[in-house]
Amino acid sequence: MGTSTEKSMTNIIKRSKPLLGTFVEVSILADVNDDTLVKLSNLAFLEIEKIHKMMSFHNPDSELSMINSHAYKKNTVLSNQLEEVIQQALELSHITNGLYDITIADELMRQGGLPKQYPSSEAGSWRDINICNNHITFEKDIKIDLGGIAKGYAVDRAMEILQKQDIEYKQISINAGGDLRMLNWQGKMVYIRHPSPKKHGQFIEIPMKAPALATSAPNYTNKNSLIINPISKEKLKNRESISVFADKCILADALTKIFFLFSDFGTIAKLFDTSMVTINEAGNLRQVL
Amino acid sequence: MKYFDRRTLIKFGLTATAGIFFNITAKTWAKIYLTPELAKNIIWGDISMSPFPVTMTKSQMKEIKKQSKVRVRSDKINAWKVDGGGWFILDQVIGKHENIDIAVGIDATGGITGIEILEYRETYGYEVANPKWRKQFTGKNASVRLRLGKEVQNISGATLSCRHITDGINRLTQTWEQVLKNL
Repeated sequence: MGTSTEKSMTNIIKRSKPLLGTFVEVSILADVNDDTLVKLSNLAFLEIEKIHKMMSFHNPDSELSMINSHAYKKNTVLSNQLEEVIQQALELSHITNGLYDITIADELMRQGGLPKQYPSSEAGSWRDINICNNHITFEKDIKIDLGGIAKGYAVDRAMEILQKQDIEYKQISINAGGDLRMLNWQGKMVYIRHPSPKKHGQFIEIPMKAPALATSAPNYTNKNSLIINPISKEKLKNRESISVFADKCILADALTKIFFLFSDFGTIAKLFDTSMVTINEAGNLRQVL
Repeated sequence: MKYFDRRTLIKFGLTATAGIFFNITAKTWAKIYLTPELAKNIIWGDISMSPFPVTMTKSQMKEIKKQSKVRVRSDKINAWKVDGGGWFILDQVIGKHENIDIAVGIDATGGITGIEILEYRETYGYEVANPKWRKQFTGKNASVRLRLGKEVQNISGATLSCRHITDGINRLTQTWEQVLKNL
């Protein structure tokens, strides 16, 4: 191994830690030493953990749980981060006319996708959420779950924190169980997991097309991880995986769920400047838009 | 489940470019992250440590299995004793489809101070691994791999289960309780 220290050498760190119930991977390439790379990657992991703690449905001490417990008919304080995520979710609910709806938590609790941890809960919709001046109020005794969007947001935040540091990066890549965000993504290839359980361990190579990519496939997931149609309340049984390219992971993450349900994806895709790739059980890959 | 094919698109009157097929290069996968040296540094910083390999007795292994409800595959603990009473352990977690090399820090009271993944290998279909894909790793030790200077491929796909890691950590916590605590 070279030991020359006179020139600043391009250095890389790749770390993976078990977080958010998945493996979170942070890779950084820059002309800095190992210690700096370790510190930078620590910043990214800490931010992801922070967002997770804030937005966990399962943790009764999270800010989200506080809101779920107290926001019914009461004006409850909201942090900037949680407001940003909920506003994004509401925008998507509005555009999809309720096909994307974070108040699905009530139904998820009923169907066993989330633990029943509230003494009361009623069915409602995104229209029962009011946000104003960093405060939130529920018109009904609804509960919200950010499971389909918070992971992507955590990845975006980690990227933001890294970019705020005074470092000239050659490459950054943050991947939380398939929610991927890259700096200098142009010309890079990504590997998408084969959706068929029979082809476990196989990957399909495609070029990266935007800073963020998220992939969803209900058939990979176990029964505790569901996508439910908020209108029909039915569980989805899809054999295809859907990958969405977008500028931000929060959007890519949410849009993968939406595209399972929403036929008029062309309108949404144009609105958010996204594109989608599907892979079926046979491993056939289609680019749509 | 409805498939978004060309007809669907026409039906919804969309101006979409559908049906562009890519060539498929399905492949198996191995990912290498940290060297044990860097993992030591990340978990324990400058605190010095010395190798402290341990071989467990049958009864210790039995007790760890009983307490953690996780199978104990090896009687060896690949451990380093850290100044101040903590430990650094290199371990392997074996799941249904994957082998995962991990590094774990345990403090003097048995608390976990850090978990790092060193290497993740998909074992299912490993034999048919694309030789070209594997080539980037062969003939290089871990410290060289870390400095190849080019990014290893990014994966987007299923949320991989961390269950085996959780089991492994439970097993190591019990290993400390039953064995390392008294050394």
